[in-house]
Amino acid sequence: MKNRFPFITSAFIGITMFLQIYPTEEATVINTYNEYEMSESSPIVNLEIRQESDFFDWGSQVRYSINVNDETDGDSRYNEINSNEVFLEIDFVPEPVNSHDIQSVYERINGGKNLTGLILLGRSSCFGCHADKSNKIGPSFSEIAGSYTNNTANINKLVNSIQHGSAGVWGQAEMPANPDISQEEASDIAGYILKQGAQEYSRISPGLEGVIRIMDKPPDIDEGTYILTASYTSSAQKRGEDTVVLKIK
Amino acid sequence: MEIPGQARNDYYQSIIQYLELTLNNMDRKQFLKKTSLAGLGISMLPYSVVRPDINQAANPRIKKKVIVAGAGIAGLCCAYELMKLGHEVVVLEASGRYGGTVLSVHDGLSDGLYADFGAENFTKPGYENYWKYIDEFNLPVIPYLHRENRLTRRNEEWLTREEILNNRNEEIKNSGGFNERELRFLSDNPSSNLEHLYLDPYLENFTDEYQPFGAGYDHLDDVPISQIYEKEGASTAALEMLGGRNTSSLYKLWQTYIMKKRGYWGDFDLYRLKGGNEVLPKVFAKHLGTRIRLDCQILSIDHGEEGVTITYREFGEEKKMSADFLANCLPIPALKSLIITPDLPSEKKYIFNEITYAQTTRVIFQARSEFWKEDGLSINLTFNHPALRTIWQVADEVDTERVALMAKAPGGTNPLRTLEAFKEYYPGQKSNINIEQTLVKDWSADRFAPGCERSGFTRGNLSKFWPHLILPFGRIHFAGGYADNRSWGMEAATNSANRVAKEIDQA
Repeated sequence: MKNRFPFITSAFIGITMFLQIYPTEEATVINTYNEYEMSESSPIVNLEIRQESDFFDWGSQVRYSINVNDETDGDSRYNEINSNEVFLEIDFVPEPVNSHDIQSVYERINGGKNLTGLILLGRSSCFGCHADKSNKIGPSFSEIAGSYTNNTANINKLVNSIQHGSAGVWGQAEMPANPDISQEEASDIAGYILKQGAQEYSRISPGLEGVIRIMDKPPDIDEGTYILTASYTSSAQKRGEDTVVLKIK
Repeated sequence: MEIPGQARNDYYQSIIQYLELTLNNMDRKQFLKKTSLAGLGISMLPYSVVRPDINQAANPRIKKKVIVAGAGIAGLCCAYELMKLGHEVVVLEASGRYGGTVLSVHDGLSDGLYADFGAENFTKPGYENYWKYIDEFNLPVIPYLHRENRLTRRNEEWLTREEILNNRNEEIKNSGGFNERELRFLSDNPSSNLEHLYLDPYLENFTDEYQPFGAGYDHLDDVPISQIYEKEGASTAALEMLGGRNTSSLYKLWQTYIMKKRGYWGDFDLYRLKGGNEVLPKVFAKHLGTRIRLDCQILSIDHGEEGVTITYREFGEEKKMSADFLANCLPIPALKSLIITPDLPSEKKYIFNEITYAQTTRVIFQARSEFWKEDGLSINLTFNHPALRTIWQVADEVDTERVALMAKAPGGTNPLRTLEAFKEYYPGQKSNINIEQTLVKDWSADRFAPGCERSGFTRGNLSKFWPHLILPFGRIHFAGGYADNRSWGMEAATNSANRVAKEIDQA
């Protein structure tokens, strides 16, 4: 299983900054982050955000779109990429983040994440009925995490629901059985759901485009930062990422 | 971003307008008089209300330009009504087809067979606005009997309706039986109507099916309806049968009033359109012609006192279009990915976050013949299996030996697993099964219409949902399967479409 996702151990970081956000003199600093070793066969992921000023307002909405190009899987412009396997991770940091600190903040946010679980989720039909922080027909990841503490017993419970289906726990909707998902895979998925669901200031959203709603201004802070990371993992298990930082005030 | 004061004020004015109109049942003239007297001023009213009363036919009408967002059945119906009223309409649809969740599929099926992958049936009584179009366009209607002679699999056993009723009677006996009042009621009424005995006396206080509040039950929103049954003296057996421990009394009484008023709280018949329910959206579309523009996804809406401007993507290019009004007939998931400026009021945002849609997978089997007849069975079968809830025959009027069967399963189900479950648990001879084709539509994976009927409202929160669900916001009006007082898809869609057409016409 471990060898199926070699990108996790190689752990390269692909950050391309959204240059408009930073004054030009800082661009050189940002460019240093582009020295990651992206393998030539990694998918190229491009996160686009329209921005008219340096800062975004609290409570405003931001439209994004993601383009993916992979030498084997194809190009998202031609519908060749399964949009459920393209993710935008939206992380909120309750302080202004200096461009010099982006990398360490990024690593703090992303360190120790079970990406295998997320990738398996994207390849399943789970996102048809579940979302991370918002209600769909099934419970959100945060609702699940609120009901089940992250421990082995609860992961096993969720593994059972994923593999054999479930009904009556969260209202009338039924969840189908997923006999194609192995015990180990279901365990990765359950672990990811419990961890991600419990993170209040992080949201994962599948799809090639959408709208992010920036939170209303919290009473105790004036400036904050959103770190947006678009990612795609190819069928050859190569991962591509693109990160954009939004300054909020 | 702050919501500009004017937009918020306007929204609250529309709430006041709603409450005053429904509570006092004033006519339009009175309302205008009252609002201007109250000093609310002309600024809150769109320019077009300053025109003479619409009932005076001698006066020229003001033609409005209206953008209709979404070409599902609600958008098409609303656009058709606005067009008939003489307004200029353009319907923008993100996907490459119109009809949305009303989807009748012929491709892949032989001999002219077809199946409704989406909206499945309508009732009589009920669906008043829908039947209006059946009459207007003279559409052929077929009785839909998929709930008759049903066999249900429970604890590995196949039971007839009578056997299920007998089992239930046994349970009722075990829990002490019905009381005399209930027995008297049940001697003239089916047991499924037992709740009427206890709810009916409460219903006469309602006067308007779009106004749950003010009937004297506002304080019952957080009280489960089971407590009302108890208070009314229901027996233990009746309480067990009626349930409702998590259903708001206010919500239940209101919904029961609507069902009584529409006539479908007792027996009602099911129907479908011959050739598939998509016949109606297609007729609307034929009348609308190229007023419908496919492949036009709306990205953002800017609105103000003067009008509405939208940004949309057509053939891959961003464009802008302005109009006097926007009839927003998009489902909520699509609505959530629009940027609306000024932003929606918090009441609308709450609703759009809370409302969920039913999401099922529809699986179609084509069989070579009515194989179940060899086993002396009905094909209306409820499997209660995780990959196959229930199955029945569709398009049975098509002149062929072959048959189309429709099966329902939870969203995300693999159709071949549905077929496997069918074969494994079929109550007759397995060797008789001659299914030769399997098709599937998984609505949970649909990009533009991910679901159909909305869920109900949570207990104790009715005032957060209603009337905000149906109120316009400035020059944006809302219609769709979610935007009516009951959630039966095509009924809610046609009702809300007619409501919005009228709102915009009279605005």
